[in-house]
Amino acid sequence: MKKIFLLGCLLFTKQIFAQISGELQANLNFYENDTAIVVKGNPLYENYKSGGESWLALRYNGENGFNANVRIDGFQNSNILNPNNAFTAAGIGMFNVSKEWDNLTITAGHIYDQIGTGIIYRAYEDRALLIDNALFGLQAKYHFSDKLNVKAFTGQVRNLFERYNPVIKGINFEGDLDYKKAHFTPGIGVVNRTLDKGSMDKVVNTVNGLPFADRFIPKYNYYAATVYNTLNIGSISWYVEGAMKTEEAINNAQGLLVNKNGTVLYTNAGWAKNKIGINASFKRTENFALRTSPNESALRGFTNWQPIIAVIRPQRVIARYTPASQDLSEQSYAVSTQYTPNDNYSINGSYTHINNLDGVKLYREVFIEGEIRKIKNTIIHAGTQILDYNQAVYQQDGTTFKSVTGFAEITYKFSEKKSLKADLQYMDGHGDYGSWAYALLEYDIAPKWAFAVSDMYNISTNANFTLHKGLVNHHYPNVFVAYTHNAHRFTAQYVKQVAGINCTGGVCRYEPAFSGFKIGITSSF
Amino acid sequence: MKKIIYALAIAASLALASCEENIPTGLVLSQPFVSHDSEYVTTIIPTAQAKNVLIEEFTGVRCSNCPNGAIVLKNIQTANAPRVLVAKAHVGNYGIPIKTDLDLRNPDATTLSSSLGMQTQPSAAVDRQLNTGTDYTFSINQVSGKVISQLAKPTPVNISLEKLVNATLDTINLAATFIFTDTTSRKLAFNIYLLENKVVTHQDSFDVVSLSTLEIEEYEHEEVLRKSITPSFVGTSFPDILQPKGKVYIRALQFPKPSNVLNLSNCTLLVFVHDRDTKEAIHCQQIHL
Repeated sequence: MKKIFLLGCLLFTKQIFAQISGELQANLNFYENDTAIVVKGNPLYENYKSGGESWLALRYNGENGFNANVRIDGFQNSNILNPNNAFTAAGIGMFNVSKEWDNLTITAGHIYDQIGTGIIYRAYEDRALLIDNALFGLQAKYHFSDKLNVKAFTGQVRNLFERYNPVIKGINFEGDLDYKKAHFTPGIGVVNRTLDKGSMDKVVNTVNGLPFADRFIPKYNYYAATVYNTLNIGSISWYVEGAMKTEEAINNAQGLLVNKNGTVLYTNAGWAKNKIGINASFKRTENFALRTSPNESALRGFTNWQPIIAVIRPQRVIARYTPASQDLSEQSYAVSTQYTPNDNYSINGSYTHINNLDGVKLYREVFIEGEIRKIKNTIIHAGTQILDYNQAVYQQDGTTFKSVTGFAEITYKFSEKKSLKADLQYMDGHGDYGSWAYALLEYDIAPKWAFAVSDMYNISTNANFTLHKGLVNHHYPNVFVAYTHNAHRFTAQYVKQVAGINCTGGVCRYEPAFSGFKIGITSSF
Repeated sequence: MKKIIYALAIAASLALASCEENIPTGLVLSQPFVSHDSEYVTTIIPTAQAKNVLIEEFTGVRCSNCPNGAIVLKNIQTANAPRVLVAKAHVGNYGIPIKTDLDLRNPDATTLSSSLGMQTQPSAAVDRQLNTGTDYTFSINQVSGKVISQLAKPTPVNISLEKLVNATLDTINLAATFIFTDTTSRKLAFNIYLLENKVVTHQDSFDVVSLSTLEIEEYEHEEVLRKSITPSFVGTSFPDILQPKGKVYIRALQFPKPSNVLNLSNCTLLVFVHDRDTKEAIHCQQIHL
């Protein structure tokens, strides 16, 4: 029997070996204890000294419609789950198999997918924040025609190497229609979550701890539905999505359980013609927290994703103050316009306005940037931002942070392969850490080498903040080198990174300061 | 495409049909229920409640004047809301069911009618005030005046009620708290009636226009006395005769749904305190289940 099994494995391996592809990502951190910025008591810095994480993904694409994926995740004294403590675990992070028959595709295992923009359901991976809420279960997709597709799924949400116990079910119809010059891609989706007994028992315990007047009957199930459409007509593209969910126990802004239903309205419209482009977005969110259960918080157990109205800026000092999407109370809009008179110049201006539903100011941004390519071998990119950021809401710390930031980035090409980039940023800040200056020099020798050195520094520290946190002006240098060989990239850097909010796509978490060396490898094969 | 739409409609119907959920086990939505008797004297004396008036009416489905009597009582209740509470006892031959209807009579109602000396129907006792001899009942036309005079009296006892209904087990818990806001040396007892509303039967009714008796096919009875939880008429005595100011009695009872009750959610518990010597009801309160 054992021999038959081994033979089967051999045949299977031989058959599929040539059709496997994949990628590797590995990070290695060496923690240098800098008592000026690293909070005492962190065992990563005081005891373990090093750690890292890796993801090795393998993909098999068969000619007979059979596909398979497997990913092996490893964490050894990693700071990625909780930057204040070590996380060590290893195993199969995800796997799935799928089979296509004519118009039907069945997938079993870990499934990544979404409905619409993801307002009622999105399963995705973001390694920087260790988000991976794949659905472990079964998904069926059926292609009725070029005008109608449907997919249905059921399963449990991944929780590292385990799964949350509640069950998620959903169905989604998407169309593709033309009417005269207009093109419509409508969709409708419904998602149901059912709590397990253990999760409900925890909810009941929490409800029983509330004052009698605030207690309510929690529901095992919530139902969320969404309707959306993209309209393309001429130079106009317009997306609109409306979603609602039934009553269930959610945590309010004070962290207390309340029984609420929820709604989201999101729309985005763009128009571009000749040298001008205009884009506008609006979103209204009320009590739209979708998680595996209300027992989960922060980045744990969420099953959806909400579009972010604010633009995520790449500038180092500005990125510290990115607004996370608010799932309980938000009303926001943004307008941006871009003017490109010719190939040498372009200018972009935008305004973003975010309040909560009670009218409390959360975020204001006026942003203007321009790019000049007229000078030979030189690209100049410069701009300014005026910011008003409700730190108390977004970071549960401080009050309101206001700043004016200017930045300039100049890239000079010595040759086709060699270029030098200088990046200067200055943030005149009031609140939080105060003002920042940032400078970077980056020298690239394409396609193999990249060298960079940068520093971030408190120009004038906010006196109240210093009193509160006990910090003084501090340098946060970074020395970086990268080497690329074919599909393999190796990086090494010495980093001192200030504590702050790390955001990806409107999903954010607070990360404490980092001090030490980082080594990284990414590879495709 | 039509088949798909039909399939979706069926699926949606099934999904909607499965939306009802039971209450999760272990959930406590209200103050834990008092499950034992207690008595003590408090120094914190609450404000005395306004005295409510108890009307115990005698009626029957074959009593053709009773629907009109019920209207008179309803008007009295409305004019003095919420201080007039009514219990309707279906008794005697006038209470014999019409056709195959439910029998709204019961032994507790019969005991009450004999104890209060009922002479005719419709008639009513008002706070069990004595009429003549051993008759504590009055004609309906006399009720209004009696009610007004009784409403003017104070009461030495406050009554507050809490209930807990277990729909699964069909049990009812009642916690009645009696707080004496003034000293009294009367021999007192308390009674608990279970009343049911929205009970539909045939009902004879005298039509004042045609001067003939008609049969109403679907007459909705209110405040039907279904059962006396305490011994009928005499009630349950308080252990002490002298009730000092601040004396508190908490009485906790659990009892099953009486077999003649159709729907617990249409029921009311009426609690009153009466004088064992004079029979006079000195206060009453009620709570809906």
